Amino acid sequence: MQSLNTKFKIMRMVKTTIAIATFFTLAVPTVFAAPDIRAPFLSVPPNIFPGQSVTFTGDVWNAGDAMDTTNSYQFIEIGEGYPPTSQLWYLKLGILGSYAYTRDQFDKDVEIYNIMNPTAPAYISKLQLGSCSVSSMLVLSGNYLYVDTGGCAVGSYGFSIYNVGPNPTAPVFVGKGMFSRSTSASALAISGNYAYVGEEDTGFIDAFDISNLASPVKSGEVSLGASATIATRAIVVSGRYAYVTFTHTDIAATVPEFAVLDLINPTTPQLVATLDLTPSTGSGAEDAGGLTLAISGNYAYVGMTAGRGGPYVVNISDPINPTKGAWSGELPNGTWSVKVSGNYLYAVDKYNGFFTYDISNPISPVRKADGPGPSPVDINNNRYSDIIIGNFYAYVDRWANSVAIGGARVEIYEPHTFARFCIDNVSCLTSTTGRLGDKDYDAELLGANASYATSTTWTATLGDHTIYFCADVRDTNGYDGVAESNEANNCTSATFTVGSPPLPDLSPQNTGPASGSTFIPTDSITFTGNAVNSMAASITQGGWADLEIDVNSDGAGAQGTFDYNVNAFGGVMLGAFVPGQTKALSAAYGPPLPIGTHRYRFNVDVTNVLAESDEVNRSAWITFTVAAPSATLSANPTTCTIAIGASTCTVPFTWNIQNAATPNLYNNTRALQYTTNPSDANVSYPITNGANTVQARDGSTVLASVVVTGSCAAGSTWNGAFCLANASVDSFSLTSSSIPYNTSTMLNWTTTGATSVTIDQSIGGVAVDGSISTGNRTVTTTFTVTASNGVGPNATAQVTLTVLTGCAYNIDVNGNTIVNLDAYDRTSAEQNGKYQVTKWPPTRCFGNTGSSRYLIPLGSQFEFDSFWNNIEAGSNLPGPYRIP
Amino acid sequence: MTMFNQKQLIVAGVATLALLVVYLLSSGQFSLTQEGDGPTQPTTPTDEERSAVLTPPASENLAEYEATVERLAKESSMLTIGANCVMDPLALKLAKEATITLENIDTVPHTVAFENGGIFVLAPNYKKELKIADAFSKGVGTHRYRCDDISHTENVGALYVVK
Repeated sequence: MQSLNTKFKIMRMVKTTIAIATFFTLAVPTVFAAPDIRAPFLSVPPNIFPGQSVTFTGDVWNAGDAMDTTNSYQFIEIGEGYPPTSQLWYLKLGILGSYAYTRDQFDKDVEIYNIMNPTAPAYISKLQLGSCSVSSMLVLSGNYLYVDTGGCAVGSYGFSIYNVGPNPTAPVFVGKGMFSRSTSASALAISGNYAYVGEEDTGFIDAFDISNLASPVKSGEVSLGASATIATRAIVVSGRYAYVTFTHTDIAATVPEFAVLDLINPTTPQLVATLDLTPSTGSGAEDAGGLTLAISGNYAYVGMTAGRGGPYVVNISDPINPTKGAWSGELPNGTWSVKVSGNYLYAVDKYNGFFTYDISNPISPVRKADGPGPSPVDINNNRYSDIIIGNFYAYVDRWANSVAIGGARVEIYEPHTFARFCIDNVSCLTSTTGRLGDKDYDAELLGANASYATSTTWTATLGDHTIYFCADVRDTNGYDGVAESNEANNCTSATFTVGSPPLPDLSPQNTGPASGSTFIPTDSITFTGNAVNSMAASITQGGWADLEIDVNSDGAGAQGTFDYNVNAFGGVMLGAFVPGQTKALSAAYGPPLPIGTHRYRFNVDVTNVLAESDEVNRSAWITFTVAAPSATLSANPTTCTIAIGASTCTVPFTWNIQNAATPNLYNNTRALQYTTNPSDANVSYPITNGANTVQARDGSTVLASVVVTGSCAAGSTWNGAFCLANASVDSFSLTSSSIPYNTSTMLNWTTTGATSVTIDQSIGGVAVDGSISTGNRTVTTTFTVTASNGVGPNATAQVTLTVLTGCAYNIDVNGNTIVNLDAYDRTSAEQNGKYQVTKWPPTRCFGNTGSSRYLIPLGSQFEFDSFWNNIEAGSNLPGPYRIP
Repeated sequence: MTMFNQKQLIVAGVATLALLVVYLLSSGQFSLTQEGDGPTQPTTPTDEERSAVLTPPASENLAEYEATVERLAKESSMLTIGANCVMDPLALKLAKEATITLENIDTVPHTVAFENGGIFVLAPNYKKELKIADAFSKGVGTHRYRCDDISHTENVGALYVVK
């Protein structure tokens, strides 16, 4: 339904334009569409207790026709627009389409506002008029704007016509109507092809033929009294008559303020009647008389200057015999504008804004709303001059007496309806007694079937009550806001009881640790809980809150009732609670914690300072356990082999350490912590040579242990740091396995892992790899080499050197010893690279030849020549011969 | 001479009909759309069913009562109050976070009150959208309510609120 109202708001902005153009034609009281404002919904919340802030909600619903200015009259200002610089005297207002034209007499211009958005009228431009105008007139008729003209030279006074149709913000001059007297136009009315124009301060009204707007031609004139002080303020043509009101300076005299002109001859109006509306009153500095005039059927409503009362109603059913009615609107500050729209008369009070009267009975209007101006009046800042009533809005000219205090503005008002909540006042519709809230609730302008939701609050008091919710309520003056089809269905009500306040119930809750939680002795447990006020009543003091621990759950203890009893709210009392409020409880316990199964709970209002609906202040016991640490530990296998050169091997362990504060798996032999994981399976960790004791511990406390052993791989020996490979003799040989008597050869050897090598037979220590002479040997000798790494077992190897003795022999090219050969002794020195040798028979052996014989050094070559050709022919020795 | 030929009459008829439709739409007397789910077709629960839903159960029969309400409750986004406070549906099944439209289709105002004191007054021919959680402050479960003579203990309907 709200959306319907939104759509309605948009729609009414459009409709306004049409309505403004037509309302002036409404002449007789008419039956208009009637809203039906109701209060169809009211809710009372549950569970109300004394002192509680209660929210009532209600809907205002228009079950009838849409609200508009034809049926609603409680106006609220919704927007205002200002000129770019402060101005003073906005005195006349006209509306055409989406634009407002206001006549600023101080600046002698017409200022133009865009009013398409009624909440934000926007100044657009201005039309500067002549600087010598002494009046302030503005009339819109069709697309034409008629304004007073104040040229400063004789012959340029009168009124000007501008066309605002093509561009409403830039009026185009069309023509000018010229007075024969030096004054400007103060009022103007159009009838057919004639304009009847009042002159400022001459007493004359002129008739102009305006069939050619570009060149109005004066056709006649009429005097209202031939007084130079008379100024026509308003002219309204109705039928063949024009009705006129005017001011004059003769404030004490019985000068009429109302006149009737017969327009039977439109070119020459004839004064046919005058009426003195205030024959015996008059005061004040302003010109006295009638300022404004509106016609509705057979009645004219005339607004007066200050001190003259009014507005007044004049019966014009017989135009030539107008009679003043008994009614007076009683506006004290001068009525600057009166307008009739539908069944309502709107009268602008200079200081109070516009008042609304129901003129369904035209001779006895009924005031329906006071002016919305400030109370008390502010004569400098707030002055009101003119009003235009649209279908949904009222447009008001507001002016000021000093630029410094705000200046003039165009204001837009909207008729609203108002709703009211009352407690225990059956007259809520008309009385503010028991009203909730400091004012009535603005339910806005409601379209057909639109609704408006509102709410109010109330501080509950004990007892039975009735909440009344009324729509379209009467204000303090008894005015409602809407003329409804049914004025008897504005209220609804609901009766309810505010019972005795419930007692609070402060109770504790345990939140942690949970039941069944397990801890270890070195833990510190923080016990947490809540103190909850579960009832809808406040608590001023919840007292003390404690944590209670019953060690071993035996129901007895050294501290109070139980073993441990400590404040659980920071050492202070709980203090106040609002309904439903929760406060957190907390207290710590341990370390150390005693091993066993224990229980805890919270206790609130320990000393029972609080009266509660439930005096059970303890929470349920919650059991928890403090367990001793334990462990299992195994290794499989329990041995491992350390590789040559390595220092460790690994063994898989499986362990489970429970309830330990600082669980760890530890190699006590190596002083090495493997892990702090409390449990795992088949995880390998390194051990060193020999027996390793591995422990499952809590800190340094041994919970379980296992012995595992590491051993060096074969061929190696633990040297205290790693497994050192044993020494080996890789080779041990002789360069010649046999040598001639008393000669030598070379011993050759290589070893691995040795740090020292020795060879016997008087050779001694040698390098780990190398060669060494055997020294001259005369007997066959066996050499033993011994390699050692200083840690492990020695390695040895042997070779035997054969010393040749006996018969001659030779060595063939393959190094083989050939025996039983002829022997050859060198018997001469070298001669040209040759030797003389003596051949001996094979049977002659070394050692038996004496020292006269020489042996040719091994490897020496010689050749026989003919001289020495004493080698047996056919010898099986291939030459060249080699003498061993 | 015939003043209108047949074609002119047809055109005039269509134009009149179009104007009528435009009027009805703009006046709000007729809408091409429907607001939410309509109420279920009025059904008249048997006396036995009414009693089963509206009578507070003994504590030992709570489960049986909930089962009965669940079986008889109808899902709808609208709850109507008819003459003599006849509610339709008698037992309204709805989610905890649901919004329902409460409508008084009777010709007189009615007051609905819950056991805990929450009161709603609704004028004839008025609809009000209400959130269960906010307006009724009701959680999951069955909530019986009374009508008009709210001090009387007789219930007229029940809300069966589910998650």
